Amino acid sequence: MAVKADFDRFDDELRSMQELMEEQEISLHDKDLMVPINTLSLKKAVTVEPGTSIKQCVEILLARHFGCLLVVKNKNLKGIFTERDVLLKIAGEKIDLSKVKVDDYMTPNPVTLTMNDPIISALRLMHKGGYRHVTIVDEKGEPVSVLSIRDIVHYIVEFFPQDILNLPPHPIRVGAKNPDGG
Amino acid sequence: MDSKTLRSPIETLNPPKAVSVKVDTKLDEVLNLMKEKRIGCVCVVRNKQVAGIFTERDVLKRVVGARLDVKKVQIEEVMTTTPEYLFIDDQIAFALNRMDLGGFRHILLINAQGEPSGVISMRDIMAHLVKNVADKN
Repeated sequence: MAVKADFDRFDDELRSMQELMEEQEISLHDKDLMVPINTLSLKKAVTVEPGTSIKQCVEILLARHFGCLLVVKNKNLKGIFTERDVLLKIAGEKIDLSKVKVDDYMTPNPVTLTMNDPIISALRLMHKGGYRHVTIVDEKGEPVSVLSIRDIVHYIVEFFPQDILNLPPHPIRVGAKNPDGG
Repeated sequence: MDSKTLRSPIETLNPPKAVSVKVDTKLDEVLNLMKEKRIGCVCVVRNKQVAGIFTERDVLKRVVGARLDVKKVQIEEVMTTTPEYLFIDDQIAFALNRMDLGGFRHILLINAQGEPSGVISMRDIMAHLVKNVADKN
């Protein structure tokens, strides 16, 4: 009898835990993507001037842990230079990096959004264009920051803190799946 | 997108198959493959098991400016060893957790035998958001 009572208590606890989880269910709707980009805490853009060597650009990307640089002249956006440009146009080529300029390898006149545009516009742009970065400009058209796909992921994570951040260190898996063995 | 989605297995996002190369593949071959397929990462395998990952970031860190002979260097010498991985039936929440906290843009997915079965990227998460939230109506 005592064992049965224990099981009943366990079932009750399990049920109340499930109810609690269901009460805390969160949903991200399209209206949550209509909030302006300025609600995201974006980092300031890293900029270089036209004429900067690719060697310097690569050094900056590495040192600042960034995936892209804006090429700016007198506060005017001239282009964007990303890791992807490095892979597609530079890697494996016999180029003296200190002699070539960012102007010849950047993507000129990239699409921009403002801080007041909704997040959804950035999502659509990135998805459709296959971009990972969107340049954000102020009301005068001067570049201020870059919205990256990382910021989108971070927005989702912050939306669901209990589901994504409150996780055990490793997924609970049924059966032994560790390739390194038991 | 809701809490329930996040508890679903990564498999439900239909992650693409991982593009794999062997550890002794020459760097120039790998670079050409990445350019041709327009992918940001390849999985490096030894005896069918995951040995490492090679990404755009590795190109920046270890290839460009390093004056390597890309025809001679093997991918093993410039890859990132012990990459982050998950199983295809792990919850989507874990992939997002690793991407945000670990800063990984790609996470390898492996099967029970330790063989690569796919790769999930931030791009896939974004595509899911666009398809299921932004463009739902």
